[in-house]
Amino acid sequence: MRGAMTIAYKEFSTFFKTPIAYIVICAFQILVGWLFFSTYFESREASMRGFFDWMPFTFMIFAPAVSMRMWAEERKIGTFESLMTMPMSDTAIVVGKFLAALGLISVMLVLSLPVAFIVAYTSASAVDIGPIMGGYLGALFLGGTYLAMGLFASALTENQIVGFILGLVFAVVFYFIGLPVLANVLPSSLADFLRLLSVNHHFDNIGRGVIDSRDVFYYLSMIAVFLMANVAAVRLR
Amino acid sequence: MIRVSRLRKEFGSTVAVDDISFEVPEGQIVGLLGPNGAGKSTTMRMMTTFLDPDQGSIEIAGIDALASPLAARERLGYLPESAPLYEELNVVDSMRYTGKIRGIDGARLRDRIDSMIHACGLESVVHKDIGELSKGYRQRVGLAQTLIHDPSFLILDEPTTGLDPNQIKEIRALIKKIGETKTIILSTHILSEVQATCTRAIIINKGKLVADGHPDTLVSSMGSNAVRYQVVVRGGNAQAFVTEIKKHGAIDVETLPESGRGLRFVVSGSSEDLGENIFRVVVKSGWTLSELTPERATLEDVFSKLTNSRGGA
Repeated sequence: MRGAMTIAYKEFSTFFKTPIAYIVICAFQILVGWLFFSTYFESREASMRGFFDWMPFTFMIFAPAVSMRMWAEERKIGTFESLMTMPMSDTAIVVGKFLAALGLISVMLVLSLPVAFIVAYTSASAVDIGPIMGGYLGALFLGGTYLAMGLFASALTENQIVGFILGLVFAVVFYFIGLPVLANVLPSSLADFLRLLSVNHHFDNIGRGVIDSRDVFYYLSMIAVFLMANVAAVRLR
Repeated sequence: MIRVSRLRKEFGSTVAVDDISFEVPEGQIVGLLGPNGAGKSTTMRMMTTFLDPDQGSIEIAGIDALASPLAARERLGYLPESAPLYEELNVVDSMRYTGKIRGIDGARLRDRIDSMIHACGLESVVHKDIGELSKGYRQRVGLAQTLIHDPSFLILDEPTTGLDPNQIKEIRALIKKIGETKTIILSTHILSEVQATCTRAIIINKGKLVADGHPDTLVSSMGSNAVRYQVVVRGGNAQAFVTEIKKHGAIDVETLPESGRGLRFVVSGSSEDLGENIFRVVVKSGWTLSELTPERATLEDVFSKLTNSRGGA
């Protein structure tokens, strides 16, 4: 894993040398803030459920926007070749890039903490801190999963836009198969199975403040699978 | 020592590299020469472990590059075509990043960066972003970065492509300087580059190795039987000259457009005394010989002979 942290540091600082970090962070804060507060002040319910419920949907768009550049740009400008002939394993490079993207998502989440304070000071009753912490942890797992998909998508192309759209498609598929509407059209056993594979189903549990090892295991394996697919994609050159 | 043996690579139904073998002992500057699409880059990409060969083996300083690519990469510096760099980094950060990935750190990294800035003439651009640099400077930064870990072997893919004549001169001088202490393999389709910088030329065509030797040896072995003269004659008659000279050993006479100085021809033949014959013919006919320039066979001739299927016959 030598060099993974060097890659992570370089990729993370590149986010802030290009407009991507600023655009993504601002757009995310505005969107989730607006989606949440447009209903919050009517109920003043002492929880952030309404905030976290939007995560599977908003991250679906923001995660591929973070990852789209990460491999496509290397291919486009040709640094891919120099990078892949450095004395470090392909896995270390992939992990380094993933950590950098996860770092940016973490910054995004930390910057949304004022929402938690506003809820704590303005809600009708006392706030339970457990579900909020669980929600943030779950959001990190969720974001990591979408990012692993987006990174894999980016590794398949040298066009950032194609990388974004492919990443979005992966994310939409794993979001869509968790929607209740599927139960109406598919046999129930199949619908149940698909729901277990979906990102939002597992997020619902964590959002309630229940951290179940099965959900954690789901996210970690999804991340692992897509990172391995990423390694395979860059090995194909 | 780099040892490449029986290398083969196919892309779909095209054979990009077909059974190429060569050895490069330490200290040489080798030019991998061939027309576009000959398989130079593919060969280099296999040597740098970027691509896996379908067949064959590669040994870098005694290390089997296919079995232990990471160890082989430690010994190599590789600069891909057009020196790809991260535009958003400045010159020092770019070198630092490569150094760190290569496992160099702290005081040693600072030393290496300083000496590479000096060696590659980067003093005036140290704090500029790569995106602001000219192509010539980018190539230098690329070289500096490739050298950061002090590798024994350098592989440079078309290091002068896209540069202007002054930049080409500077980069060639830099490569020569680096070549004093390192083994360099560079690819090019520019013949004069090989004659100017390399101590050995390997010519590749259609994925096959077609010639291997010192540029001068290649020239003399391939071009020895051909003699060519540029001739300018005043006061004569083109038709008469051609007829006359063909009786005296010229195999082919090309008539060039007439200039203010007289009638112009390119006369080629195979006999040693062709030059003298031209002189005699002109004097005997009472004309004036205002130019008689022997054209030495160049690597260009060797190259077109070997890579052009018609010329090879």
